[in-house]
Amino acid sequence: MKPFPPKIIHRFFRWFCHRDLVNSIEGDLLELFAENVRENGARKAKWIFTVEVLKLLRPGIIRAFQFNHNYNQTAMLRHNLILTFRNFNRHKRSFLINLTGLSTGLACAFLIFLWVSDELSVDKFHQKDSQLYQVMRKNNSEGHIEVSRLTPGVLANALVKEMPEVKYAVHIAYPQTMNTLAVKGEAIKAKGIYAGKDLFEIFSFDLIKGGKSVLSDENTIVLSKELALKLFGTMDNIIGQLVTFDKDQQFTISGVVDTSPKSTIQFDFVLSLPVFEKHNPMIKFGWGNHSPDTYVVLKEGANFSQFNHKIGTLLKEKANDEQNALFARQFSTGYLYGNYENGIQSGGKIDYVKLFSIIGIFILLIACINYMNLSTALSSVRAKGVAMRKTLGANRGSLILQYISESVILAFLALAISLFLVLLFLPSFNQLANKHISIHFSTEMMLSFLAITLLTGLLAGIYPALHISRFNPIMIISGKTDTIFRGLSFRKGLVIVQFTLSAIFIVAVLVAYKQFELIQHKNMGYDRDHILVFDLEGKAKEHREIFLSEVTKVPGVLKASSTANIESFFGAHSTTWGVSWPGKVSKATMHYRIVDYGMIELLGMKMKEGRSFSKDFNSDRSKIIFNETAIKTMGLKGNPIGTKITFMGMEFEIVGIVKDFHFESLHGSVKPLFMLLFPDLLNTVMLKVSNNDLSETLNSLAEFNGEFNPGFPFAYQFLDDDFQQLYAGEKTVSILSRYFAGLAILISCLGLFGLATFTTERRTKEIGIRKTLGSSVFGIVRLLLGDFAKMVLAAIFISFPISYLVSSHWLENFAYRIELEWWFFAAAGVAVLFIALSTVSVQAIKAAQVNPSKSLRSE
Amino acid sequence: MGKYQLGEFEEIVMLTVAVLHGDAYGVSIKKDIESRLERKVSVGALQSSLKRLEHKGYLTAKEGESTSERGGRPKRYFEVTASGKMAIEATKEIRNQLWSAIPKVVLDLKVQLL
Repeated sequence: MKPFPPKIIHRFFRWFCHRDLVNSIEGDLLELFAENVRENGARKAKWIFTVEVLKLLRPGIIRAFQFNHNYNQTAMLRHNLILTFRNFNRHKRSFLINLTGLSTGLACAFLIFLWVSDELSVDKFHQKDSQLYQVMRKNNSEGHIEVSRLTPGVLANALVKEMPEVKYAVHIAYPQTMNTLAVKGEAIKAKGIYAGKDLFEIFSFDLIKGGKSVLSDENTIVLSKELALKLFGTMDNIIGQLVTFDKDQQFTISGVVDTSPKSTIQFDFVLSLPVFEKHNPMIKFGWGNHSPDTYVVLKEGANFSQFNHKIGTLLKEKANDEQNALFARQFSTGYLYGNYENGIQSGGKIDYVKLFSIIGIFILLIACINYMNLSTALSSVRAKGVAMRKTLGANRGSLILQYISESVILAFLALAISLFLVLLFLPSFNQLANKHISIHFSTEMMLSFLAITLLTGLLAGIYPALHISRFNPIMIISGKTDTIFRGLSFRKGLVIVQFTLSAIFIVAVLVAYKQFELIQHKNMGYDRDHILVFDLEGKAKEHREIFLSEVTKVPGVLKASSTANIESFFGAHSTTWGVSWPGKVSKATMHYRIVDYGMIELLGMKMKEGRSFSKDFNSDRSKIIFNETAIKTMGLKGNPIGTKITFMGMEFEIVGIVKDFHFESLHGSVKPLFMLLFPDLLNTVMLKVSNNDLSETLNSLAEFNGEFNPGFPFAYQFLDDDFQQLYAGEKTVSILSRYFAGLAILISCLGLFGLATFTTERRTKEIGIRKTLGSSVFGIVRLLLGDFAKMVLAAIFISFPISYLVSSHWLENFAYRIELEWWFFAAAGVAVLFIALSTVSVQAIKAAQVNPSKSLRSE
Repeated sequence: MGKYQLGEFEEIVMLTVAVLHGDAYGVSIKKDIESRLERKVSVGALQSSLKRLEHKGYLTAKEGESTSERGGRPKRYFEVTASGKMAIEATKEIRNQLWSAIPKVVLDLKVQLL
């Protein structure tokens, strides 16, 4: 066999050698090689060949490694730019569709981005963030662990004294109601906190006036900027002035603080912690009483897990309390990771952050798919141009560059529009999401926006660029268009992805809507409509019974009663385990409500057995009412009515059993609860008012309150609003997801519309011929719709299992939830199919009606 | 005479191309130089030299026939151009002038030393 020179070396030579010289030098090399084989043998010849090739590696012989000899960057860029705008101009419709789709998609993504980064930044602004921890408490009730933020009020001092790693520790206690602050007759209702003296050492609230020791004196008060402005109209020279507190106490202003909307700790004023005990004589700080929140700052380099371990056994050591155990978590994680399930961290708002990030990405993806589909479809029109450019020497790289720069330019045009859209819709978005987001054009934000835009442009452009640049010029110029239609199934796949996402969104929206309907209309065991709530204070508190009987005389007021609220009527805020009854085995925690006469009737609760509290009996102060669940939990033998139980060292007699009602959100099932009369603790008025002339009733009530209780402003709230707070998170998500789902479908349809328009246009001649051969308008419409219908149907079927999984996962958050019914999916499917087909059929019918003589004549 | 500049190897290549008149292509030039000068010439050195000369306009090239031994690749024949001829003549002239300018003594001395 004839020997050959080493293949790799040979190919290497052909690769690097100058194009003008390669053939003749190769010839020389081969001739020499053949001669060397004859004279010196194959081995030596191969060796000589290799050496010769290596010696050819010199400047004059190595070719220029550039795309082009005279590659002029700016000229090419300008050329690309001109081509891009020419193309936009020539294909105006797809340009507009793409621009609309991309700018809507980007606007959605930006809004979501702003929302997500706002959520992520909550509570993160404190300088000592990395060392700042909140002490929490796990309460083990019969094997069920509940996590609470309330801790013993003596904890902070003990931590600072006994644990060397603690730098600062502070308590924050919340008052049960709002208070009235007055300066020179100007009275305002405000919500405050009680805090230890190191509050401003720990939290970086902006202390505008006053030093860090503003809380060291029991007689001082720190006002928020808003409250100071409301009371004084200015912040100058107010330090040292007196504020009247609830009519009869006075505090000296020692500081003004600007609270941040990005903080979960919100207040109008701060009093020092010792005042809390004075204002709440029922609460004595001690190891057995859990009232305030506790925050600590650990020293630099302190071992957190060791600290966590130490406080875990603290309650057992101090109070021999085995039911409660303390633990610490980083304060700033509390907002996003706030949920605990049986004592174990189980997500929280972070779930929504993730959910919306995914939605944002999907919406952008849908918009990108529009671009991919339309521009690959258009490529059949532009194929000749591409072929021409290739023939004239354009290589694939420069074509890819051109097509990608086209999509990136479009993305940046969309960026401009979407920024405008974001600015336009941000106020309404803030309202929907209950946020205070503002666009401050910081470098970081602009860079993120630019990066998102660039990525979108690249993602949208990469497939069309690869597809188009692959065209074989010979095939196209000679009219064989197979290459153009390659990738058709990929495009169909993209449409299917779009509509799958749309169908999932629709099912999600439906499920969320039905679940909220269930919550809104489920019989909670009480009636919360048209119930007003306001603070019981001042003269009204002193003469409560007179006030309540007088207030019912105000026209429009149907019933009046009062209760002891902590934060709100709803929620799991007041619990105790200090109830004992005959034969007690259960250690279950019980919830309780302090009520007044008439409360059960006012809320429309039903008695199951026995009677409600009534003024007709003198001794009802020693009576107690349980709910059904509590009776079941207690496992009393015989008739529970009349049974004596002990609570806080006092004896109570069961007079009635109230039917279960949902005093918490429907996320959980009904818990054991009892109700007591405790007149000293009552602090909130509840009024049932008539539906008619509500505003007039409110006016008369304000007037009545002003006469009866001068100096205390009438600040009311509807119980229903209070109730809605329980679902604030879900409500926001439900509303936002509705908008985003709508947009997703809109953008998908936009793309489909463009695609349909394009295909029908391309098939004008075919339709003309079909019509001349006798096809009916209906037949042609069916033909045109068929392809799209198949894609959308496939999408719907793919969406079923996914949306089933997603929605059942979400519903697991609720103890009372709707059943997933088949018609949710059917409705979503029909809706998607209907929307998609009506989009397409507009074009199809138009195309089918064209007179064939017209469509066939024009060339 | 700065107009024509030829390196030593370039001059040899030029002269060889002229010698091989009509049959000057890569391999033949290489072999001729090797046999006359009794030294090895690499394809790389030769080709870059040829390219430089072509670039200076002293040589022209045209594609010729190909043989099976060359893998079907054409030979590239070189010819000396008019300016190339002037260049080698100018070089030769300089040499001659230099030779004639050498005083006899120097050469005699050299002989004596040898």
